[in-house]
Amino acid sequence: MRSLWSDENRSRWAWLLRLVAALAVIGILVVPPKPIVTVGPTHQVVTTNPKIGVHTRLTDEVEEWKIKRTLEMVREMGASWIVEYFPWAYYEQKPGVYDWGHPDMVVKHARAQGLKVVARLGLVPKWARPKDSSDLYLGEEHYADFGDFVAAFVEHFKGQVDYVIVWNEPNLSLEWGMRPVDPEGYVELLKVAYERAKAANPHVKVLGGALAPTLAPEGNEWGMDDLVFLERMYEAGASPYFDILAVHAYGWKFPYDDEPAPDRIDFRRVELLRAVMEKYGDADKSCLITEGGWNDHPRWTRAVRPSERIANSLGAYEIAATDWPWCEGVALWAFRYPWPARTYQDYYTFVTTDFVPKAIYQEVQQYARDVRRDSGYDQAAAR
Amino acid sequence: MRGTCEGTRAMTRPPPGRSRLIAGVALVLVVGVALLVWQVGRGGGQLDRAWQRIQADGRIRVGIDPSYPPFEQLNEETGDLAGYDVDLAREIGRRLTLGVDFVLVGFDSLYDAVQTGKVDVVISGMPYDPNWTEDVDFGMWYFNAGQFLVVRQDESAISSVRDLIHRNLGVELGTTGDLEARRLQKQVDDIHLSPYPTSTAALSALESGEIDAALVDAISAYLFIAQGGHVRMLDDAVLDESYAAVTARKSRQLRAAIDAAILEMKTDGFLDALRDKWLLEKGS
Repeated sequence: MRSLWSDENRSRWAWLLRLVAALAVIGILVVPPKPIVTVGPTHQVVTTNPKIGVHTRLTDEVEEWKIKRTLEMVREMGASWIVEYFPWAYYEQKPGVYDWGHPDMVVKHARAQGLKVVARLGLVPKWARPKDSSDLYLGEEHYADFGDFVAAFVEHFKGQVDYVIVWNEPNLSLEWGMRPVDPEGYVELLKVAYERAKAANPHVKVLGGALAPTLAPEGNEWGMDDLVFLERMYEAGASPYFDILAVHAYGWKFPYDDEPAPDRIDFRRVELLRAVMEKYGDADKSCLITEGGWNDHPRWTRAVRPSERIANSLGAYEIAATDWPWCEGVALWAFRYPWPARTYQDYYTFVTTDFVPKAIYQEVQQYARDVRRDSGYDQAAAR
Repeated sequence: MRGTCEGTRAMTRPPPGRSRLIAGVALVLVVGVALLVWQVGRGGGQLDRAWQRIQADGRIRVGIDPSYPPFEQLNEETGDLAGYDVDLAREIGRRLTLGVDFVLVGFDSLYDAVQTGKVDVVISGMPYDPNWTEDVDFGMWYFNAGQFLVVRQDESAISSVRDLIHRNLGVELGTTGDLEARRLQKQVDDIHLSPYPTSTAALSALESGEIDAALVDAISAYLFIAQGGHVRMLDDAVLDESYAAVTARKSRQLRAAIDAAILEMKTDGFLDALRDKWLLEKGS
C-alpha cells in the first residue's frame, strides 16, 4: 500500500491544491464583492429647530464612506437641510449622455440620513461654451442645453430632490463667465430652467437668485449690488420663474442681529432682499438661505473670534425659527471640505477634513438637542 | 559534439543583432549614469538664484502682513513698521550683513508671494503648516505660539495635564485650546471644562480663583502677564504652533543662512529678549 505522502500522491496533492487555489481566484474574480459601504436604514433628523441646515462640499468627494460619514454627522448635528453643488459639466460630458453615478450616491445617502437636499445646478460643459472660456460662461444659444440638463436632473431625482437652485451668484462677473453681469440675461436663463424643471416634475421647487452680498454699484466690472440686481430681475419679469428666493447671508464682522442697511453687508441683509420681494408682490413666496455664516480665522480681516462665530451662528438659526416665518431654512457655509483649502476658507467649516468636530459643531448639536444649559456657549455667554 | 561546439560559440559570441542590442543598452546605461552624476553634482552645488541675487544686491526682501500686533503692525502716526517679526527680520539682515526691504502682503497671499519670487522670505507670524510643506520650506522655528497650561503664580500642584484630575480648566470657547481640552477630557478623569468668550476672560477667571488652570495660546498668556496678571505659564506646550521663516523650496542656501542666524539668536538670548520686549514688557 502506497503511503499517503508517497512521491506520486504528493504530486496529486500538489495538483489538487493548485486546483483549489485556481478555483478560489476565479471565485474572487467572478463573484462581485459585496459593497463595503452600505446605505443603511433610514434615519430621521432629531432637532428642535428644523430650519438648521448646512452647505456640504461632496461634489469632489470620491470615497463613499466619506460621503456617508459627512451626512451622518450633518444629521447628528441636528441639521435637516443640505445644499449641495451638482455640476452640469460633470454629469453631461457629451450632449444627452448623463452619468448619474456620483450624484446618485450623494442623494441616496442624504435621504437615508433623513436630510432634505437642495441641489445647486451650474458649471458649463466644454461642449456648451466657446473654446478657452470660463466654465461659468453660458451663452444664450446654450440656454436650451442647460434646460435639457435641468429637466434630466429633475426627472432623474423626482421624489428625491425637491429643490433646485438655478445658477450661483449671477451678480458677480466671475460667476457669470467673466462677463459684465446681466440681470435680464439671468432671468432668461431662469425662465428656461423653470419651465423645463416644472415640465419634468411639477412639484419641484425652483430657487432663483442665490445672489452674492455685495455693494458693487451698477457698472462695476466685478459685480452688482444684490439689492439692485434683484430689483432688475423683477423689472425683467422674473417673478413667475422662481418659487423661492435663494439668499446668501454672510455676517462678516457684524453680529447676527446687526441692523440691516443698504450700504452694509451683514446677516440681516436678507430682510432687505425680502423687502424687495414684497415690493414686487412676492410676499407669498419664501426665502431659503443657501449660503452664509461667519469665519473664525485668527488673522483674516473679516473673521470674528470663535466664540463670536458660535454665538452668531446659533443666533442666525434662532432668528430664522422665531422671527422669519418666510425663511424656510438656513444652510451655513460649509460643513466640511474634502481637503484643506489652506486659506481662511478652512475656518468656515464645522468639522475638519478628518471629521474632527469643531466646537461650533458641538454647540449647534447641543442647541438642536435643546440641552444648552450645560453647553459651552451658554456658559461662555453667561460670563 | 558539433552541437556542443556551436553552443559554446553561441555563448561567447552573440549574433550581430543581439550584439547591437547589448551595445545599445550599455550606451543608454552609460549616458544615464553620466546624467545622474551630472544632476547630483548640479544639485549638490546648485546655486540658489535668490541667494545669489540677495548677495549681489546686499538686500533681502521680506514679506510681511502688518495686521498682527505685537508681531507686526504699522505705526498709525508714522506709518513705520514695528513688531517682533520686524525686529527679527532686521536682526537676520544685520547678522547676514544684508539690508532688509519689507514688502507688505495680505495674509492669504504670503505663500504666493514667496512661491512666485515677489519676496525672498516671509517672516510674519507664519505657523508651521504641514499642508504647505510640498510648496514652501519652513525654517527653524523662532517662537512657539501654541497652547500652554497657565496656572496661578503660587500654584504648585499642577505641573502637567495629568494634574488636572478633578480640576476646573478654563478655555476660550471654540479655539484650538478648547478642542484640545475636550479631547483631554476624554483621557483624563473628571476635568471640568469652563469655556469663556475670550482667553483674557479665562485668564482673569484663573487669577480670581474661579478656575484652577487655563489652556490658552502663548500670545494671550504673555500679554496677560505683561498687563500684570499674577499667573505663570508651564514650560512645555500642550500643543505646539511654531512660527517659522518661510522660503521657496529652491532657496536652500537662503534658508540655511536664515536658520543659522536664528539658531545663533536662540543661543545668544536674542529671541528671549525679543519676546520680553514685545510680549512681556508692560504696555506691550
